[in-house]
Amino acid sequence: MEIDKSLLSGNTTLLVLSLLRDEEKYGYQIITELAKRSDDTFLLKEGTLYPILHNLENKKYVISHSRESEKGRIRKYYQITKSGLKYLDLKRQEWLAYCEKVNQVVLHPVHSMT
Amino acid sequence: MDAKSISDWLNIVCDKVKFIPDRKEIYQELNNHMEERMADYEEMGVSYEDAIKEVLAAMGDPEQVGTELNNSHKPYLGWLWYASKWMVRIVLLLCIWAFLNGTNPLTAYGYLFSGSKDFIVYDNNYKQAESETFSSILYHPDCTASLYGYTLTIPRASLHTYNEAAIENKDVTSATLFLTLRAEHRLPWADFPMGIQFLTTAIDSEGNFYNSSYDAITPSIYGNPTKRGLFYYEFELYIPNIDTHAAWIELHPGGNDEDNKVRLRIQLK
Repeated sequence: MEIDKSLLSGNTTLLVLSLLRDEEKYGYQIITELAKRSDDTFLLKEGTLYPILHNLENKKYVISHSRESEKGRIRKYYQITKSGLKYLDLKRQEWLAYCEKVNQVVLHPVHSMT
Repeated sequence: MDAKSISDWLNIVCDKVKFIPDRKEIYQELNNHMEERMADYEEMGVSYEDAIKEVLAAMGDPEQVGTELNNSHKPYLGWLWYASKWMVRIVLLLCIWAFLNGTNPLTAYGYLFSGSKDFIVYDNNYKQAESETFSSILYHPDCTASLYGYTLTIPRASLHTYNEAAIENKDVTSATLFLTLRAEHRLPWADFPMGIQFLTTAIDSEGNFYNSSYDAITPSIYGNPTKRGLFYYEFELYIPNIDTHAAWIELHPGGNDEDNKVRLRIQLK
């Protein structure tokens, strides 16, 4: 099913931090993982991932370091920090509360107008 | 703007980033991403031309990406960071320089002890010329005084005596005392103690008084600042026409005020 892209735009930070929660990843890995986990629903423009990552780094939610892969490619890995985990927790709670409210409206049986 | 190739796309992005030192890293990171995607397409059997088109389409608008990256690579913060790094280096180098080389060439006008080089020790009763007898005695007076946060010492002094009896056919002896006056301070930014040069007066055991150069009445004390270290200043002073009978001479740095009890005594005999 095609999903409205605008639903994605406000929550890319939440998605990116969620993907980094368990292990450090490099940019391309984040993109492929995001596509895989969301069954290709979230195909964000790949270039736009990097400003998000660099912003997160500025805010100290992630730290980065470069490492060489087996194929000799130098990859920049991003790792979530303690304050990043806290921020992620906050964003998740926000998201859950938001979903709940949307569901309350969308799933609630329609009352007859009086 | 449409990018035709990967490097094209990357150049458009990087041109948007105003903080130039960060461009290289951004270029490398994005280039890597695109190369990995290209390699995946190659494995899937997609032709090179089609792969390029796919990659460029997937990356998105380079101008937008560049603008967003520029926002997270703020030039003023970056330059500030660079400037502070360089300032630290320059200050460190200046400190090392000041430690290694205490001499300030602009003020190094020593009369006897020139610059940081050691004093030329003359033998006593060194015969300078047939008609003139010259003798010099080197002292290392053990005296210390405090004045306005400065610790004053005299690392060395030297009494030069000329006996001009031979030429004048009279018993004419003149003596000049040269000395290094050192003013140390705990703070490297302490003010230059100019008063030492102009206000120092002296008195000797015979009761003779030597004016400061500020008063400019003979006999006076003359001199110049000669060395500037991180924690000290040095002056070379000289007192001409010293009484040759004097057993000691006492310096009053900072002037002859009654309140001022700062004394530095050089034992001459």
